[in-house]
Amino acid sequence: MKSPSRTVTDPRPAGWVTHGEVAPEWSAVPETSIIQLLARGCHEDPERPLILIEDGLRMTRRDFLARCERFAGHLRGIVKPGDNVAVMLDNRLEFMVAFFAIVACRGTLVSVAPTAKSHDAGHILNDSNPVAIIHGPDQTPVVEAITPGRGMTVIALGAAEPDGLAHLDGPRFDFRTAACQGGDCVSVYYTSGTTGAPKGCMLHHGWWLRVIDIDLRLFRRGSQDRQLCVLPFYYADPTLQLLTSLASSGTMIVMRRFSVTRFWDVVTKLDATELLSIASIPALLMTGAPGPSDRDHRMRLAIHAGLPKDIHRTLIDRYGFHWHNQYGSTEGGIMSRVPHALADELVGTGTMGVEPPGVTVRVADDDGNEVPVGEVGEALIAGADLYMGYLNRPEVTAEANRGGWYHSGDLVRRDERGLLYFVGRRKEIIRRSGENISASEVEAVLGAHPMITEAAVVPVPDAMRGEEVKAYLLVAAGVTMDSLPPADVLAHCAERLAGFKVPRYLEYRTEDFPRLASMKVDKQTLKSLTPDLTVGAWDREA
Amino acid sequence: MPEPLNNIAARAVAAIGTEIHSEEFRTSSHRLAQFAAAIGDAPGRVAPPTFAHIPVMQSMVEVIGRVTDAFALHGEHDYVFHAPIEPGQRLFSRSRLTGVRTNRAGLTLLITSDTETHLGQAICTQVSTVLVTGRADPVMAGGGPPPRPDAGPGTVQRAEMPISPARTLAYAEAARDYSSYCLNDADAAALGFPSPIVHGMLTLSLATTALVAVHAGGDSTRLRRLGCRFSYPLFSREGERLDLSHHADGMGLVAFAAADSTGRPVLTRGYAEVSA
Repeated sequence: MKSPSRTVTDPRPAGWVTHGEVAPEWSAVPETSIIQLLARGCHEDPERPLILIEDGLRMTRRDFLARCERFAGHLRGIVKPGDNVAVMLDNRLEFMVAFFAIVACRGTLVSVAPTAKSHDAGHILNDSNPVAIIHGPDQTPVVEAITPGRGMTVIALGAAEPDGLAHLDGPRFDFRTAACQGGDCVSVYYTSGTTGAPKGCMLHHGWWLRVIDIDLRLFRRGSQDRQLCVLPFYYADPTLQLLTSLASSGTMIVMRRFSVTRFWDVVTKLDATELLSIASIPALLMTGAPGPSDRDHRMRLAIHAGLPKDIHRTLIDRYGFHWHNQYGSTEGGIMSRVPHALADELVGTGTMGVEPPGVTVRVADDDGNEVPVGEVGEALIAGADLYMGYLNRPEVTAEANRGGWYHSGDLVRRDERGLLYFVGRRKEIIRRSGENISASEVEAVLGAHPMITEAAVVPVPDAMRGEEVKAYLLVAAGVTMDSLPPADVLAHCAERLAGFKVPRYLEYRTEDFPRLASMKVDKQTLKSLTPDLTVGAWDREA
Repeated sequence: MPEPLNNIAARAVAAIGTEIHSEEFRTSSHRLAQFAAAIGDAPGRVAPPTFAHIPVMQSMVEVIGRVTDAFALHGEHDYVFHAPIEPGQRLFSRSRLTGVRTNRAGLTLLITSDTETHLGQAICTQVSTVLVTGRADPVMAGGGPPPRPDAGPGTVQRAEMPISPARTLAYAEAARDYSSYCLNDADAAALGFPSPIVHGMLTLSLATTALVAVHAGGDSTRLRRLGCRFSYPLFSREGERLDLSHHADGMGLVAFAAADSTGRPVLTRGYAEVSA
C-alpha cells in the first residue's frame, strides 16, 4: 500500500484557477498494481455487473475475475515476467480478460488495432517481438500472414463471446497472490506519430493507477453511476473506464462501436450516467432534430477532448448535462480538465481547464522557456508516473523527455487565470506566406456553421505562398454550393478568423470522411483521393 | 476474527453526526419503469413510493461503512413523502448517522436521509436502521426511530405475492443493490442463511404496491408516510411467497404485516398514512 499522506505543493501562481478541494493523492486507489485493484474490487462487490455490452452481454465482477484468473492459469505457462503479448481484438469481453490475465503474469499487453493489416500489424510484431498473439476470427487472415517463422504462440478465440478463451482455461491463478510491481510495464500502445513509424508507448502500473486516482478524485462517482464506453478497446481509455467503474462501485456500459443512431437507446436502456467522448461525437449528437425525449435519460457528465466551443452551450441546453473539456494523451495521462465547480462559467470558452494536482504543464518556446501569458507555445508536461518511454527507442524517448519535461507536440496557450487552450498539433500547422495556421482552429470555426457537420483542413502546396488552406466540408445530403454558397462560408470564417486563415479551397462532401479507428478524420486517405488537391475544389482566387 | 461489537459500538457513538452526500441522481422514465416492473407495479407518471430509497442508498451505505465493514441487516425503514419522484429530476441526497443503540440482538445504527431536487424542493425524508448482530454492552446515543402511528381496527384483507430468485435479481438490477447474500448461494451460506435472502426493500415495495392499489385507489401520491420493521429474512427461493395482511382504519391509516410461506412474520408493525 502506498502512503496517502504525500502531498504535492501546487506550484501555480496565486490567482490561477484550480480544481478546488480535491481528495488526497491515492485516496481513490491505494493499490500499487491494477491487478490488486481488480482483485479487491471484484471480491468486495462480486455480484455487481462490471461490464454490460449494448447487445446483451452482462458480466458480474465475480464472473469476470474468474475468467481472468482461469485464463491467467493457462498463460502462466507461456508468459514470463517482462514478455510481450500482442492482442488484436474488437470490442468484446475477451479483450479485457486477456488484458488482466497477461498483466497478472507480469507480461505486457501490446495493443494492435483489430483492423490493422499486414504492414502495420507486422511492424508492431517486429518492434515488440511478442511471445504470443491473441486474436479473433476477423483477424485470422492477417495473423496467418504475419506470424509464420516468429515462433510465437498464436491464440485464436474459440467459442462465441464471452467464452472465446474458455477452451484455454487453466488452474485458477488467485490474483491476490500476483507479484506485480509498480514499475512493471502493463501495456504498449502504438502512437501514430506524424514522423517515422509508429512508436510503442509503454505504460506501467504507476501510470494506470495515477490516471485512475486523478480521474476519481476530480469527479466522484457512486454505485448508481454507469460510464458509457464508445471507444475501441485497443485504446487505453476503455480499460481506464473499466477500472474507474470498478473502483467506484459502478458499471461500464460498452458500445461495440459508436453509432449516433443507437446512442440514445443505449444511454436510456442501459442507464448511462457518464460518457467519455472523442472526435466528432458532439457534432454528430447535434445532427438530429430536437425532441421531447432529449432529456429523458440519466446522463450527468461527458468528458471530451477538444469540444467545439460554438456548440458547447447548445449541447448542454438540449441534453441537460455538462460537457467537460479535457486534455489528455497516452504519454501524459490526464494533463488538464475543466474544474467541475467552474464548468458553468467556462461553457463556450473552449478552454481545456487546468492541470490536476500533481501535474504541471509548461507552455514553452523552442528552448523550453515559459512563454508569457497569452502567447502560444508547446505544452511540456511534468509529473510523477508519466509514460515509461517508447519501446526500443531510447533516443526518441530522450528527445521527447529532454530537460525533464515530456514534449507533447501540442501548441497551447494560457490566459491570465491559468486556463489552458488548445491551439493545434505542432505538426498540423499550415505555413502560409510566413504565417502559421492551425488546422484545428479553422476546422472548429467551419464546424460551427449550422450547415456544416464537420470540416477537415489540410495544407495544399502552393508555389507563391508555400502552402494554402484547403477545407473539406462535410454537409448534409441536399446541401450544395447553391444552398450554401462558398462566399457565405468564407464570410463565416472571415468574421471569426484573421484573413490569412480563411481557406482558399473548398470541397463539399455529403459522404462521411474516411476515419481512423479513433473516429478522427483520416486526412492521409482523404488527401490521397485526389492527387492534385486543387482539382475539383472551389478556388477563391479562380 | 470478527471485531468485538463493543469496539464497533464505540466507534459508532463517536461517529454520530457523520453526514455523507450521495452523488447527484437523475431520474428517467426508463429507470422508474424498470423499478416499477421489478416490484409488480405498473409504470406510471411518478416513481413507486419506495423508489425514494434508491438515491439515498449510496450515502446510507457509506455512512455505515464509516463505522464498520461487518455484515449489517436492514432492520426498519420509515418514509415521509414530501413530493413524488418524476422523470427528469436531479436529486441530491444526504445521509447522517443519527442514533446508536444496542439490545440483545446486537448493535443498531440509525441513519436519517433527506432528498431534495436541485431547486431545493423537498422530496423525501427517511429513517432506516441496520443491525449488526452480536453481543454488546448497553449503549444508547443519539435519537431513536420515529414514533409509529397505531391504526384503529378495520377489516383485514390478504394478498399473496410470489417470490423467486428471478424476482430478487430483477429488483437487484432495478435498485442497483447487488448485495451478494441476496444473489449467491455460497455468500448467503457464509453468513449462515440457508439460501439467499430477499432485499428487505423488495418485500416492503411489494407490500406497498398492493396497499396503494387497495387503499389509495392506485394513486401512490396519496401516500404520506410509510414504514415497517424487517423482522426476519425472507428467503429467495422458488415456491416462496410473501403473505400480506392489511387493514384500513377509516381514518387515513393502514396497518400491515407480512409472513413467509411457513407463517413466520417477515414484515411487522407496518403502517401507511394515506391522504384523502
